[in-house]
Amino acid sequence: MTLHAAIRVRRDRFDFEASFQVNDGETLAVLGPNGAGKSTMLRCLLGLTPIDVGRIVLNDAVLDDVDTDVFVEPDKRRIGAVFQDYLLFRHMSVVDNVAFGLRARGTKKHESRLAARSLLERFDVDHLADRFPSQLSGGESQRVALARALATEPRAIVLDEPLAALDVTTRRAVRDELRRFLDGFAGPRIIVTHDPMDARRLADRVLVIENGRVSQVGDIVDVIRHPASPYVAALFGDES
Amino acid sequence: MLAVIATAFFALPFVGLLWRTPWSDVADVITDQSVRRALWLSIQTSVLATVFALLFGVPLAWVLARVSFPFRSLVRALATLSMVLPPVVGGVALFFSFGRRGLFGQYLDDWFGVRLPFTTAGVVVAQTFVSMPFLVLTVESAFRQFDIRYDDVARSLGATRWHAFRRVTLPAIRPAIIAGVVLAWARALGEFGATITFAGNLPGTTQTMPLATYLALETDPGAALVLSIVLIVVSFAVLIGLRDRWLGNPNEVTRS
Repeated sequence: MTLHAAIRVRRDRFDFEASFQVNDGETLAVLGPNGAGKSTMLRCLLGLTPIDVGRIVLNDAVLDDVDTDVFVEPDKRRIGAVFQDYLLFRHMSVVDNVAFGLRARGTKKHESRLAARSLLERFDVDHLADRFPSQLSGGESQRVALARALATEPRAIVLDEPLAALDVTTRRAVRDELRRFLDGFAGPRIIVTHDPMDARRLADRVLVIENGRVSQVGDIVDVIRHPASPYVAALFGDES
Repeated sequence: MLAVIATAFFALPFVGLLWRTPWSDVADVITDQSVRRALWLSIQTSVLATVFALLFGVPLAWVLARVSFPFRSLVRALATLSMVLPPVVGGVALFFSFGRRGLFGQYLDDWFGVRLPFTTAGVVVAQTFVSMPFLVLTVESAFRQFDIRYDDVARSLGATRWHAFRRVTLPAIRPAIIAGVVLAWARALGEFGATITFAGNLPGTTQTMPLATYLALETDPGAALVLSIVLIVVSFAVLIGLRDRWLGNPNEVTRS
């Protein structure tokens, strides 16, 4: 059971191409400088940005195949996502944020809220259920965003710069927490980051993207030992 | 100092109005049959016009903000033209387009038996014509400022486009929609020029409060003053009512 993607996107001056695979129970970190195409890649996986060439397969389900004209709408892909800044719906309480996915899929309000509350309990934030996103700290927001993404039982999970919004002091604690969460998720996991420390602490493998191309992919330890480009070397510079 | 003058400029007319109002006649005027008819007509038509502005204005605002197509700026200019146009000109334009002999009006009459000029429907058309731009402009700018990534989140959570729009986008821009509705409604309630030009001044059918007020000024200035007070009270009541109910802290008013 894997996520397999071979994709290419072209827009005006932007050209992104990558192909990779993530297995169940494995975390892939996508590293690269700003504007390299990391977020575009995630948007392609989620079906929010259409691809021009290639295909995306999750388990046995073809999500995208340009050759055979297959395109699964974002709401049918079952990939859980945590976006940069978490993007909790500000006009909804915490419990309604988490219940949103179930409601969107037609589950009754009462059942959705019950399920959302038990998820919040799992993340130790059930006491925040009736608060609003503006009243949460960064770490609390992340837990709620994770709970929201998990509520619809996704088959894979992608996280876009989940730690970028946090200040240095809370960052480390939240990162450890994220690690435990990722370990507990059975499907393929992808985390986009620009911070090599996040990659080292959270991921099993690294995919480095530079100028819209994959410059290196491999086990985190190998990549640190044998950097394939000056960028990667500088990234892990103090550790090799 | 200039700000004080500006404030005085806004305040003094109300002082003058209140000062000259023949308070002893108030009861007589507002129980007057024709006044109550005009007030009731005004409320009906302005509410209807606002409903139409909302019904057509929100989709138009969405298209202008989100869909890129050729001549978009032309469409936007067209949609807001009636806001800067002298209302009388709008009324004349409506008359020669949708009047009985108008370019399109003759077909409305021939095919559907619909006649707009000098009817209550005509009043609603004139009010919608001048008030919708206020709603479109307000709502369009809210659509533009809304972070579209919230829509993406909703989609990734399993929401269809429509569900995401209804449950995420619309609630997020609700304050702007309310503001647009209030502006459009206020404009419709006060509408004079386009109404009198297109729909005429028939008591009970097309004579709204502003028309009645203007007419009263020539025959019975005291009544005009009272009518003005009534319009002010109605406007203020709605503004204050809406502010407390809808424009407070958005975190506190939503319970889905």
